[in-house]
Order: sequence, then C-alpha cells, then structure tokens
Amino acid sequence: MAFPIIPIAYGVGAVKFLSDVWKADEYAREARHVNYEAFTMIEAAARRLHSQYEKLESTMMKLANRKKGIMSVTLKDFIGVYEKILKIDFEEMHTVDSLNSLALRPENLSGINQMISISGVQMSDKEILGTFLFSWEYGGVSGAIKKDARINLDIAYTRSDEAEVIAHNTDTARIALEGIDDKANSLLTLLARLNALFLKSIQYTSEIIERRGLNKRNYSVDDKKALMNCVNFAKTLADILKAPLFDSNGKLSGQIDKTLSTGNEYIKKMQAVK
Amino acid sequence: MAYEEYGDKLKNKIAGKVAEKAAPVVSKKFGDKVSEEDFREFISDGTKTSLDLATGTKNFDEATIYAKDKTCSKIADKVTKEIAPPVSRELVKFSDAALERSYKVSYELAEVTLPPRISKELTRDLRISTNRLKKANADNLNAAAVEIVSSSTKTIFDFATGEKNFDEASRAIATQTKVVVKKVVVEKGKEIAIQEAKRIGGNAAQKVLLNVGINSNVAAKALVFGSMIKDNVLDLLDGKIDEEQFIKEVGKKGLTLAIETVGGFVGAEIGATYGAVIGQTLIPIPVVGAVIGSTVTAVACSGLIVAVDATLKLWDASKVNAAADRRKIISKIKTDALAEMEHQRGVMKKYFADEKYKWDKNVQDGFELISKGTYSNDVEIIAKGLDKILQNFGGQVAFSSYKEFDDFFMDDNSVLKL
Repeated sequence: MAFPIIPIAYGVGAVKFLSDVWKADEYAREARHVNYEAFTMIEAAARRLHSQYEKLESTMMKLANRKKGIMSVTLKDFIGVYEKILKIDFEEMHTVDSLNSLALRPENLSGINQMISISGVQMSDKEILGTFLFSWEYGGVSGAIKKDARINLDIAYTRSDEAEVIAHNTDTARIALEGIDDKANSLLTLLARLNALFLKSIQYTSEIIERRGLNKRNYSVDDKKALMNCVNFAKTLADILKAPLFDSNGKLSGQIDKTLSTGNEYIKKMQAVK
Repeated sequence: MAYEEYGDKLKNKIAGKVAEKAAPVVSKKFGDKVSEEDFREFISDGTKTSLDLATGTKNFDEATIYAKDKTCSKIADKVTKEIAPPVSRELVKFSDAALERSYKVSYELAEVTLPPRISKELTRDLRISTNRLKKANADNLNAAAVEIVSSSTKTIFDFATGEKNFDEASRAIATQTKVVVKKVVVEKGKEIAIQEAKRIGGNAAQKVLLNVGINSNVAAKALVFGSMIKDNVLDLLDGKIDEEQFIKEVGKKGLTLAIETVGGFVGAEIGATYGAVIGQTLIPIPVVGAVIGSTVTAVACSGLIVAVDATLKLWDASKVNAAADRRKIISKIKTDALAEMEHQRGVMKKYFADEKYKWDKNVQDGFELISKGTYSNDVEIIAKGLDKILQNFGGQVAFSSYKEFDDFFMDDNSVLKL
C-alpha cells in the first residue's frame, strides 16, 4: 500500500528541494541587499563626519590665527602705547594648544573602527556544497541550503541593525562638530568686529597720549573717557582670548560625551549578544 | 546447625521438589518459547518467595516486588539475548536502506547534471561516506537494539500483568525508544556524518565548483535539473513560466503527508517484525501475544521514525533559531538604542540651540549698546555693551564707570591687569 507513495514522495521532495533552493536564493539576494544598504549607510555617515571634521579643522585653524594675530599684534600695540602712562600686567597664552583640545576627533569614536572589521556576508561555495552532500544529516538537501541562507540573512539583518546604530552615533558626532563649527565661526566674526573697534580706539588714544604726554593732569575728561574705552576693549579682548570656546564649566562637552557614549554603550551591548 | 541455615535448606528442598514436579506441566501448557529448565527456575523462585511469605520472612508487598523483579529481569534478559540480534538486524537493514536511498538519489542527480569526471569523483566519495555511515550505524544500532528490547520487554511484562494499560505501555515504549535512538543513533551518527561532510566538502565539492565554474547556488540548482521535474525547471529558466507558476505546476502540497506516511509505514513494518516476536515470547498465547507485541512495538517504531525526524529537525532548527533569536535581541536593542540616542541627541541639539541663542543675543545687545554709547559719547553705556558681550565668556570689563577709571588712572601705583 505504502510503496507507491515513495516515488510520489521523491517527486514532491524534489519540488520542495527546488522551492527551498529558490527561497535560499531569495534569502541570499536579500542578505546581499541588506548588507549593501548597511555598509552604504555606515560609509555615508562616516564620509559626512569626515567632511564636517575637515571643515571644523579649517575653522579652528582660522580662529587660532585670528586669536594669535590679536594677541601678538593688536594687544602688543596697545601695551606699547599705554605702557608710557600705565603699569600693565599681561600674560600671553598658548592659544593653539587650547584650541586643539576643543576639537572632537573621529578616532575617539569607537563605532567607526568597529565597523571596519565587519566583513561582507556571503555563503561560501564550499559551505553550500559541503552541506548539500550530506543532506540527510540536516533533514534534506534543500532544507540545509535554505537554512544556511536564512541564517546568513538573519546575520545580515543583525549587522544592519548594528550599522544603523553606528551610523546614528556617527551622525550625532557630526552634529556635535557642526555645532562647534558654528560657534567657532560666530567667534571669528565677533573677534573681527571687536578688533576693528579696538584698533581704531588704539589709534585715537595714541594720538591723545602723544599730545598730552606723561603728566596725567594734562588729560581732560574726554581724553580719559577715550582711554577708559580703549582699556575696556583691551580687557574684553584679553578675556575672550583666554576663555574656552564653549562653556567654562564643560556642560556642553559633558553632554556631547554623554550622547556619544550612549551610542557606544549600545553598540557594545549589541556586539556582546552571541 | 543454626536455625536459619536449617530453614534455608528446607526452603530450597521444598522449592526444588515443587519446581521439579510443576515445570514439565507448565512448560507443556505454555509452548516451547520458554524451556522447561527456565520454568523450573521461575517456579523454584516463586515457591521460595511463597514460603518466605508463609513463614513471615517477607511481608506480602516485599514478596510481590521480589517475585516480580526477579521474574521480570530473568525474562527480560532472556528475551533480550534472543530478540536483540534480529531486532538489530532489522534496524540495520532499515538504516542501510535509508543510506542507500540517499546515495542513489545523490548519485543519479550527480550523473545527470555534472560533467562525467566530476560526477565519478563525487559519487566515489559518496560511496565511501555511505559505507562508513552504514558501518557506524550498524555498531550503534546493535547497542540500541539491546537497550530498546530490554526496556520494551519490561514494559510489555507490566502490560501483561495488568500494571500498565495499553496506552501507558505504548507511551512508555515509545518514550524509551526515542530516548535510546536519540542517545545511541542520532548523537553518534551525527558525529560521523559531520566528519564525512567535512571530508567531502574539503575536496570533491571544491573541485566540482571549480570545474563547473559557476556559483554555488547555480551548482545547487544544476542538481535539480536532473530530477524528474527538469522540464518544468527548463520552462522556468526559459521564462515560459514564472516562479509562482512553477511551484504551482509541480505542486508542493501533500509533501508533509507523503513523507509522514512513508516514515510511519516503515516504522510499522519494523515494529511488526520484532514486536510480534517479543509479544509471542512473553505471552505465549497465540494471536494475543503477537497482536500486543506488534501493535505496541509498531507504535514505538513509528515513534522511532518520528523521533529521529523530530530530533534532526530540532537540531537543525536550533541553529536557525539561534540566529533568528540573536536578530530579535539585537533588533530590540537597536530600537531602544535609537530611541535613547535620539533623546540624547535632542538634549545636545537643544543645548547647542539655547547656547547659540543666548550667545547671539548677548553679542547683538552688546553691539547695540556700544553703538548707542558711541553716538551719545557715554563711556558707561559702551562699558555695559562690552560687559554684555563678556557675559558669554564669563568675563567683566575693567571699568564700568568713569569715576572708577579716573581713580585708577590718577593713582600712579595702580596696575592694569589684562
């Protein structure tokens, strides 16, 4: 009774084989697509971050030069003129060092390096045929092929999820760099405007000092008001040059750190899942 | 002579006499499956136990357990010795047939679809592996048969003595069989199969791929071409039908049913073969013993096929499930991560925006005051303007009023600290 069923079972089994192989192919295609998307996502995010980093580096360099210029030219001029009538205590700063410490560097972002180590997912030829040849052990030739493809697809999605988190974190870093760049540009403009006013004030008061000489009693109220303005500009610029780019209490740096390390923690958590 | 020794001697003497008289009678009544000598031993043991009960050496429960265990163990040992070899032979026959079937399918497919040289190489490797698996399975199944027969015999005895009903006995045998098969056949066979898979995967398969010169999925598909549905495959490749039509045309419904029917049939066949022998030996009443034996064991053997199949599927599924489970966990972490990261990013962005607003406003207000003070020649307003700007940097102007500056300026000891 049951023997005629066997050839039928083989026939139907063959259909299952083909259907499973076909499904495996679909899984493989989907896995390749998912992997491609994941790596594109990471690459695009990393490129954006790198480009923003280059932009910020250029702004910071301009800022450092401007600070250096004000420090070594304008403030020196002021001191040269005012030293004749006032005792001045001025301590020069190492502007470049302090500026560099403000910049975020991509190598500080763990996710970028981790992503580089993730390789493409594809079933090797050896794997698939090795599996096929001993099909009975796995519950059917096609079942094995489909199963491996399914596993690879799951792995691809897993990596895609990791990639999404890493890309998100990379974009967060870029946004932080953008914020810093924006602030640095505002400071560049502010320094330029104040420096222009300060230069005029030095020029104007140097004529007064030239005219009135060292005897302070020769100075009128208006003269002294002009000197007061110039001194206030000098103090203002000196304070700005000494101040950090962002809040002195480090609140923003703290927030940036917190935001990025949140992402990094989750990435580690994902990679710890076996 | 001590009292106990005398009692034992008497007990043995009585038991011996009873057994000597009763064994030929009982043996004749129960046929020739159990010898007269065996019955003599059973009767002698039973008589001794009865005397223990009568003299109070054992209570009723002790006597019953002792009698049952002793008799059951003896029968089980005897049956196992006699029945295990034919059962083992049947199991090996079945296993060999299954392996040969797999070999034949692979061989035919390879012959039709692969170049002759590759096909020859591949089938030679398959032949070696099939033989190795057959040998390994034969060893494993010999061990399995002893264990299955021994445990099944005890259960059938329980059924015969009314301690288990039919359902309980069937379930017990099925469970015992599954456990033994899983332990002895599946676990050990798996190791051999993996070794062989690695061996072939390492040489012939690689050569097949190199020679065929196509990717693995195509190679796998090529093996299908030679199957009985190759015309449909060609239609599919020629674009005459699409994938969906292809699947429908060949028809995949009924697969599970067909496979299960085959599995069940083979199981029942084996069951009937050795179940009847066990049943007839244990319960030497024609028909009844065979029916009970073959039915119970057929159930167990159908269970055996299903158990092997289920074990393999589970083993297989566990790998798929592990990857799928990992995907689920990671997906959940991702969702949590993105939500938390988005929140943190929002806080950071707000901080930047608030800071920028405050900063720009101070700068704008500061320059407006500077401008206003310049037009009105009011140095104190200009100082306020600079102060406003300095709020962004945590600084302060040197002099906020003219008087402060004047006092400082006129004092020759004053030092301007920048």
